[in-house]
Amino acid sequence: MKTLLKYSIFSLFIFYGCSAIYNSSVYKGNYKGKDIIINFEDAKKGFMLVDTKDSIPFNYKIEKNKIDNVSSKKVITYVYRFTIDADYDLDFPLSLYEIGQKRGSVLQVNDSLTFVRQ
Amino acid sequence: MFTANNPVYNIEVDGRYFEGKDKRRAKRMERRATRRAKKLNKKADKLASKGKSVGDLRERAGELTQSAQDIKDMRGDKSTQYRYANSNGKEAKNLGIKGQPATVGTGTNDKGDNVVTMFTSSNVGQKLHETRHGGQHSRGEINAINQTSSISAEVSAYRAQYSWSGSLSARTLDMSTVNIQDIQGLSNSITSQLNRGLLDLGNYPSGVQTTNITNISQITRSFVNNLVEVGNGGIQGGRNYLLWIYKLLK
Repeated sequence: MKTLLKYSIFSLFIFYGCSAIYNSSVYKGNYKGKDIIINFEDAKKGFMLVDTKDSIPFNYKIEKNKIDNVSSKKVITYVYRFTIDADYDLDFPLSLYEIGQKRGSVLQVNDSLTFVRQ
Repeated sequence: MFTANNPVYNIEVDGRYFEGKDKRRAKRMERRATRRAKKLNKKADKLASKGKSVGDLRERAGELTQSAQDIKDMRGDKSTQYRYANSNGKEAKNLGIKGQPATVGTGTNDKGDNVVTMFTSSNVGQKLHETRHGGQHSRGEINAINQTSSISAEVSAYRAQYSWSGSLSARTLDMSTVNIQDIQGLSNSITSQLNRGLLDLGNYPSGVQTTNITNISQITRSFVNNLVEVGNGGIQGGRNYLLWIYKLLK
């Protein structure tokens, strides 16, 4: 019984630890007049809300790359790769990236479009 | 004509147009496609009898039956010899298509007939894709020799590929939603620089996503139009770009 209790407490810690690491993060942006909310529920999946109507589920992974920039300095980039069911015919590009950090306050899409963490 | 000491796989030319090893390969493929079509139909019957949805099982069975027909059509084509070859092998490398599945004309045989070779890996879905192209060539729907094809021929080939396992994933990007200069890394913007770095490393630029096909009806002209790959277009030492694979097809 004592051992069982010990394991339960241990599991609780692990569970708490996981939920702390994978806190969902929400980013908001606007593309061609459409409000787009991207909710990363955990480290693998999330969903997008387009104009708060259409909910599009996705899986994702963050790809880490070291690349040369114009000044020939190596920079680390994090590119968000999405996997989406073909039923959702997207009419906006999904090209989120971050430079030098992961899960920051702003996700880049292109030079004029950003998604801001809420 | 049979002659002494000829290896078994080099004889028996009877005008049915797979020869030697390819004859066996084609027969095996035909048998596997037919068997799976039967299995899927049986599964659909079972689900239907319980009042459950059969999904796309019947369409998949239909495509697999068509794949068996593709092989029959190639066999019946008296003017062209059809072959299977490894897309990672020497022959593919010499043709500059290493690693890429393709159905192409590879010259003529001793009889003076055209030879069409289907280059694939060991993946059955991929084999069915190229087999469909072989079948299309034998029916005159495409021309593998001068590489004349169409989007609808590709839709059909992807449906054949999907039907084997019931799932398909591919890299896609809708060209109309992106700035081409940015995606190809050709301007001075931050996005463009990032994408140039990724392309030079052989990676996909940041806008490319993976599309999951889970139902045969999702394989449409727009899906095929949006399929992309990273490559230098066969230019030796050339820089990588994001290539829309079927951009030139109508």
